[in-house]
Amino acid sequence: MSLVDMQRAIAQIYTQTDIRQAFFSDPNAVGHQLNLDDTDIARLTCLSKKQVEQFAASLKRKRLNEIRKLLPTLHRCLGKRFSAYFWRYAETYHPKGIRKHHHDAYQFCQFLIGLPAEDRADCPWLLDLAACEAVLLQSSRPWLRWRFLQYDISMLADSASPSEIDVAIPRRPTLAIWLRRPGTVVVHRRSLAFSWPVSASN
Amino acid sequence: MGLGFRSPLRADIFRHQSQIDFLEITADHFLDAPSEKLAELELLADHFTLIPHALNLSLGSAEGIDGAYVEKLAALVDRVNPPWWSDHLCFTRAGGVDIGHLSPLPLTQEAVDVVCQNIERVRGFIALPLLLENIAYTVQWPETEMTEAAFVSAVAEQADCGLLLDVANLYANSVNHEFDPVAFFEQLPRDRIVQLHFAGGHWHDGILIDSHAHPVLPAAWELMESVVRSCSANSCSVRGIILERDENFPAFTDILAELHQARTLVEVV
Repeated sequence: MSLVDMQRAIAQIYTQTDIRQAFFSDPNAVGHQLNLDDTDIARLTCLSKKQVEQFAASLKRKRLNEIRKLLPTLHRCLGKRFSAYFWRYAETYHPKGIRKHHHDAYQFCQFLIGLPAEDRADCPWLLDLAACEAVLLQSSRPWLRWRFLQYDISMLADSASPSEIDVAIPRRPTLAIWLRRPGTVVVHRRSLAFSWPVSASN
Repeated sequence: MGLGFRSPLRADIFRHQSQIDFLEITADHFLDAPSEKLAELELLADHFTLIPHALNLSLGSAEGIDGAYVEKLAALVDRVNPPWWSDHLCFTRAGGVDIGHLSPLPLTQEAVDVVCQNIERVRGFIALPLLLENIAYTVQWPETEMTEAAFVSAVAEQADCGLLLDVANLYANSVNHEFDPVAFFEQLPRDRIVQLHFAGGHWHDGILIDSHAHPVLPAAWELMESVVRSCSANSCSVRGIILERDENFPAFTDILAELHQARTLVEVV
């Protein structure tokens, strides 16, 4: 057995759905693509597909769980939609490194920001909220950030549940400024809302 | 008797410091960490004995260890100056892919040799005693040259290192893969078991998950008692027991109650 090649192959099978499905459909073809010899392919073929699928699912659930903790406002405001969006995102990025969960959370925010409008029709404020959550994942070094928002995100932060949020929140063009000063963990945020709310039809 | 440190528990841990003998810290939480996290480490180190428990050495990686990670880990261990430190008998990365969790190794002599070589390289960075923890696993490699207990024993003897026996992981594996956990434990070199872990779990999709998010199951307590009793009868060198609770935190009195139950179990035996 080439343990190096076996581990490289199984790591991809665990973490990438398309490779995993392809391997169990045609182990010889995919095994050779993964640089395995016939003996190693035969060994991997003996793995329990059910066990591998269970482990692969647990890896995604673990990522989801970690991201929930790092994006608490998004999680609270989206409710069940948070998980639904995550499952769509999970195959597009594979985090690595010591701070992989932070990278994962940040990339998830970018994924949400990049969603087409029709995919966030029932939560039009999603782009703004994801952008705000992404700001809070920034480096711990001192920084200053600003962003123009279409919605007053403080209304989302103050609401208690997804059902309250789903009542239409008016568009209110807002300039949000975040500041992290040296020597402090606190991130200050100030929102400068323009003087009139803009109706959703505008 | 100690507790796995988690930031949400910090205030309660300090309030009940007299009931907690030492803390186990997740090493990775303090690597490449922001200044407030390092300040937290200093605070903890001033008040508790800290045992670093690493997650990503990937000692079972046939590609070898990550030098940059080991250097950061070594700096942390040096700062904390523990009596021992630990990681897992597994691999977590290969071919540039970070699996994201502890993954089992094939039970082969080749894997034993890989782990031992990696441990030897790590010892070039960290001279303090290393303990290896048994992981919970879903996937079983189909071809084995030895039993899991024999594999763990072989690594411990060949690398001359200690063991961190995770009783919850052992229990979960015994349920999910249908073997006798007491018989498994009896085959381990008990004089090398330095620390124990215990934790709660829950069922998901027909599998017992070592979630660290629920109370310890009654059957896991029974196994813990068997382990402690056997250790007491066989001159084991267990020097510490850690309760792991990662999330879904109950009232801290519940956590203290589990610590107390474990302490009572040890004293009675």
